[in-house]
Amino acid sequence: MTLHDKIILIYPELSSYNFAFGDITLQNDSDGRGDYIAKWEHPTLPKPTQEQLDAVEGSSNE
Amino acid sequence: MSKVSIKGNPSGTGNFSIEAPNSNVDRTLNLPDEAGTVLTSSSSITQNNGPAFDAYHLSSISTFIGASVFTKIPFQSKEFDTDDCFDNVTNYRFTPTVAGYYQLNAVVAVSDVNSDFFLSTIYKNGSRFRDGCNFPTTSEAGPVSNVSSLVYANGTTDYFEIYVIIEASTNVDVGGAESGGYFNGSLVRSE
Repeated sequence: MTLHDKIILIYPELSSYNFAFGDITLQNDSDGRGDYIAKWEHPTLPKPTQEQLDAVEGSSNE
Repeated sequence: MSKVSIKGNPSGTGNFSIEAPNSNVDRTLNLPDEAGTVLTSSSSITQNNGPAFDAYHLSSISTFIGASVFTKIPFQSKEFDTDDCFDNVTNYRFTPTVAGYYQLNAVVAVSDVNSDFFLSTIYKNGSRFRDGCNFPTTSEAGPVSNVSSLVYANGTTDYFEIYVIIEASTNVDVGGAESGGYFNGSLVRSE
């Protein structure tokens, strides 16, 4: 499950446009370290914690 | 009062003349207050020899772009790189060594995909800086996005990279040099 997938599961109200033209930037620097949250400036939704992201992945495997 | 002196050359034999044009207007030609050689329309002027590079993505190497993630394009090969300013091994970035204004261009194509947006962008010093054209597609043709901009670089620490983002719900592959996977640029005016 990608980082984007996890975030959408946590916040289903987000659309793809939030990531392309909005206030959230997911980034991959092609250095082998994978995707990460480079910017989170959403006006109402707080940046998900690592625990939330891990929990989403765990629940999807059950 | 400063003076103007015209000196001959004892080694030469030619006669040099300063001639007035056919004009009825009085004019004054001011000499610059600096040492140097006066140029004429026939003089050879040294051209801009600042950094220029052309890097491209190898079609034989798969670079996947995940959905809705700004992903750096690793341009692994170079057609030319006059001043060795493009890192095609580790960070895939252009770090010019001469301060000034640079024209940067990039084209990125990806494999067939349906996507509401596909956008390439120039990153400056690790941050989104200049977006290119958005290429939404619902056809089977592979989308192509290009970005082009005049940018300033301080000649020491400023660097530039190309990132793309695509809305597709599945991973897509980046094309090679011929099919649209390159990044190039050059100095157009030094500081």
